[in-house]
Amino acid sequence: VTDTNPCRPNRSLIVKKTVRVSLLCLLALSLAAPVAAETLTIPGSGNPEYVLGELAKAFNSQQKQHQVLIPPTTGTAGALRDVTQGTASIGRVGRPLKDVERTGGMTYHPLGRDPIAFAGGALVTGRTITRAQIVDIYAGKLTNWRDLGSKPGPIRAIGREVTDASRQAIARDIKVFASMVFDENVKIVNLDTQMIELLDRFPTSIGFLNRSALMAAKTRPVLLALDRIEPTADNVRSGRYPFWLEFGLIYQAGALTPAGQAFLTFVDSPAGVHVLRSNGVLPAEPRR
Amino acid sequence: MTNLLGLAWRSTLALIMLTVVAQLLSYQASSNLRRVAMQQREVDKVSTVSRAIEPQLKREGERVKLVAQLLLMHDELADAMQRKATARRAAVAAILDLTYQQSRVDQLEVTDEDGVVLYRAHEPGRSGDLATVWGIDEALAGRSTLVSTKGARGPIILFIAPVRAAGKIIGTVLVGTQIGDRTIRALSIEAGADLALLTRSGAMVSASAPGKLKPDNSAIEAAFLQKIPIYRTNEVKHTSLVYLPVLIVDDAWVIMAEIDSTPAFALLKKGDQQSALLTLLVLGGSIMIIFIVLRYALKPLRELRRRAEASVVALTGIASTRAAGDDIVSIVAVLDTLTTLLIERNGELTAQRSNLEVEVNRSHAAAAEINQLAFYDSLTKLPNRRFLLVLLEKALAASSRHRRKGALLFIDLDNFKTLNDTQGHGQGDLLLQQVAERILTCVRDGDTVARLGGDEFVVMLKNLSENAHEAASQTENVGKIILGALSQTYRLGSYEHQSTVSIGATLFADRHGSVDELLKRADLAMYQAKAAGRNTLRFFDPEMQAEVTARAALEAALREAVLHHQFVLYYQAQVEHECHLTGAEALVRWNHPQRGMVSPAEFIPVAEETGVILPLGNWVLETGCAQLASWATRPEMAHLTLAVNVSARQFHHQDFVEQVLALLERTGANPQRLKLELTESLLLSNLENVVVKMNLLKKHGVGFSLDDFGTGYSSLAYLKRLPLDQLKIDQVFVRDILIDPNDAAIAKMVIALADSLGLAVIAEGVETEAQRELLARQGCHACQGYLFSRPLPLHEFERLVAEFDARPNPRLAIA
Repeated sequence: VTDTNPCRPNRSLIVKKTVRVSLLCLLALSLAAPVAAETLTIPGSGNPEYVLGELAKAFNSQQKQHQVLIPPTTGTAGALRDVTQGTASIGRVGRPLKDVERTGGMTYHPLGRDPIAFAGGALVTGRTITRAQIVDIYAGKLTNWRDLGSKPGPIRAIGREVTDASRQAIARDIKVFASMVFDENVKIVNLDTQMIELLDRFPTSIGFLNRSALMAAKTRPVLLALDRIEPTADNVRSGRYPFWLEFGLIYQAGALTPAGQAFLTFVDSPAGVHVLRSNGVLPAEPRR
Repeated sequence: MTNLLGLAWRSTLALIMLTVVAQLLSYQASSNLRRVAMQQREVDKVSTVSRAIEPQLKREGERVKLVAQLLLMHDELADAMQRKATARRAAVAAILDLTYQQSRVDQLEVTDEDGVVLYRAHEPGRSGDLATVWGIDEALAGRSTLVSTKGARGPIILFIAPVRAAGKIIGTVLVGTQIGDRTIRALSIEAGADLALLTRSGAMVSASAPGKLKPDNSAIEAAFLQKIPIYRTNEVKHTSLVYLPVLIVDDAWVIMAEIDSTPAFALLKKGDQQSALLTLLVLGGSIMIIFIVLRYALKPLRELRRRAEASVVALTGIASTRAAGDDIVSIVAVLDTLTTLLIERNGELTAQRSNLEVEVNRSHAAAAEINQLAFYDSLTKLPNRRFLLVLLEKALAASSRHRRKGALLFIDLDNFKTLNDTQGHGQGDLLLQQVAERILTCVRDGDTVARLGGDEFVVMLKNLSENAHEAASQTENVGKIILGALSQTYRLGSYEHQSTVSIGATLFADRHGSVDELLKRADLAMYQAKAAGRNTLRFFDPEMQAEVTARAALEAALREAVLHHQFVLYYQAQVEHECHLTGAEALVRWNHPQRGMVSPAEFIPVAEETGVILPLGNWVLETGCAQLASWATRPEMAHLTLAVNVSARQFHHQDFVEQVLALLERTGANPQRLKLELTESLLLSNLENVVVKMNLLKKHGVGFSLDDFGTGYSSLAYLKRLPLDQLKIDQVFVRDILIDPNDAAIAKMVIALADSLGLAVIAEGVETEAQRELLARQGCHACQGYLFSRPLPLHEFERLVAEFDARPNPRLAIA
């Protein structure tokens, strides 16, 4: 028997509509799930902090789905701790991982090589420095810029602890730099931000850190060439400039979130490479 | 030791061990959790301490700034600094000393516009040197700077500010405060913890309680590198420690804080004790439950062991020596013992079975031997009297069921005693054995030959004819065969012996008489045979005997009749179309000297049975052929054909064809006039041979007529194969052809069949005109019978022929 009453809604039609709407909702949910927004925080080393901040800005402006935050430095050790403990899915490190740190699925994703530059305060007029002068300054033997042919002024040397990645990078070329005891007037800082702050505050100071991090300085620290060789990415690539450090990102294999995967993809993309180059970083080999 | 304990105890102990380990692990885990919780609480506490430190240090910086600001605001400082050199130091000193005393800072100095120290309030005796501290240049350049330096007694927070006069920088003022013991003590009081200020190398530059704190260099290094607070617990001193990395203006330091965690440790200890007590309670309860459960759970096992050991004791008599606790071991041992026993018993049973099989075989052999001895004669291996009686009983029963007659032949050797006496028993035994063998060759497979004893044998014939006369005849035949066989010469070693037997026979059927009675009858008959002169057969039944005697006399007479030509041929006319006499059928008659004419129905069966039919048939055929040859010389008779009956036994004789051809040749008869009448019974066996013989004769012109067609096993199949010339409708169909539709139908069918096969047809036994007319209407125009003539002697038949020739349509009725 067929219901022929035109005023009465057809039951099968209602069922069909219900099913159709349900399926559409399911489809919408299934499509919505993969595009859930995520804020990705990348803690860790101060060396790549600035350039990662620039990469994050570019990434965040390029897409609105994910937000990448680069918090103040907690060091490479902080990155290892946070990623190991699962506090963060990605961390930033100022050096490649050691073999012992690669256990348990820890993966290193290199960003690039950044020249370690010696920089003077804003009043420093010299533009180059030699390896011997570096050693003498930190040994307290050279105390005035006049002795370096620059405008007279006390040399306020700022150093880093022995374990610092930038100091170790210099020590690869100036061996004595690795273990020498700095003069008592050399101020030892623990963080890149302190280094930059002191360079800003003391115009006759001298310090060293990776070039991209110097971009965060409020003043304009003077980059000092090493024996007239500028601390540039090209000179690092050619091997003429010996002070550089490699930094990168770390994550646990299998624990990468969609935002982390998207950010890594962006870093390796031409846009990411451009940001690295424009901040003086020599992008990692595979991406060049 | 453990063997002395029961399985329940041992299982309990094992489970207790496991429970203890589990409880200890549980206790340890809970203790660790409590410890972690306590440490977290103490960490929170020291975190609170550390949070109090940094603001305090910040306040120290603010304090030196404030002192410097107060000094810069001093109205006379700028004037004092601008005075002449000799008065300047005193004026500046007066101001700085007062400020130094009031502000409780650790460093207070003033330089001129070149950075040369004018006066140091904290070192009044030293001045005139160039200030080299960080920030002095900045101050001379017009900018105030807060810096820190590392002094021998700890960090010093310095604030350096330019001193201006009339818009011109005339020098600097430096105010510094030492972050040393005093500050640390103050911080300690405020934080409620013992504090120490440490360099990165672990050197303690100041402490709230010098000598009390023992820093851990690895923790300091970790705090420096990780830039986060590092927490430790001193288990011995019951204290909690934090290594807090702090930045005092520009320099990194570590402040070590230690708080008393004795209450927490006491709480921890109390928790551990409670946990231990609880663990013990749980342990005790578990032990009891385990023991009780196992005690009851293992009860069936103990019962199984008890029963298993009892079984072993019952089987072997050996009691188990296992200890009380070895339930499972004991059960395994019992199973092992039972398995061994089972294997041994199985071996014994196998051996016994073999022995039994041997015994059974022996028993069977013995039984067979006993059976042989009990039921068979040891000399001839024939059934003995006992067995014969049994077999006879069965035969009687069977005979009553299927109504067939049986017969007993009692055989006794004639003069056997003489042989025994003259040649010895050995020769007698040999004779008996050969007699037994010969009798066996004379009987059928189903018949029985038995030896009653001495020289007496009995033959039991079964399944004889239902008809008593036929059965007697069959018995007589067998008896004669035996008589013949046993009368042949015997070879007993080198001695040839001639012997005869006397046979007494009796028929049995339907349980007429007992077994013994039957034997007596046969025995009596045997004595009659002896009395009759030996080497003969006698029946017990007088009638039967009389019949047999008569039959024997008939047979003898027949043989004599053949020899003495007592047979004559009669001729019965065969007429076509009622008036044309075409031939005759030759019919034999016996002209007995005493009895006169004997009916063929009486002697032909005996002749067939005894074989006399062969010479008789041959005489008939020869006489017929001679008659044909004679008729051939007479024109009025030359056209006649002669039908001669040939018996099956005669036809199947291997020389039959040759004999016929020889007769034809010898007599000169025309084979075309000779017609051999065959009966259907002739065709029942060896049809191929029959066809061959007929064809051979047919080639020479001999004709064939099938007699009695339709009365026997008529088969249409052989009709087409046989070279026949004529079918003969039997008189039984003709006799009632007018009143029995079946007979009429059969006659009609035979006529139609003959017509279809191209054969002539003749009806015999035609007695009336109506029969002839009916047959004629159906297509049979040849007849034989009393309507035309009865069988006639030769001269009468020839006269009949002449009459037929003279009268075209004769109707003769010869009386």
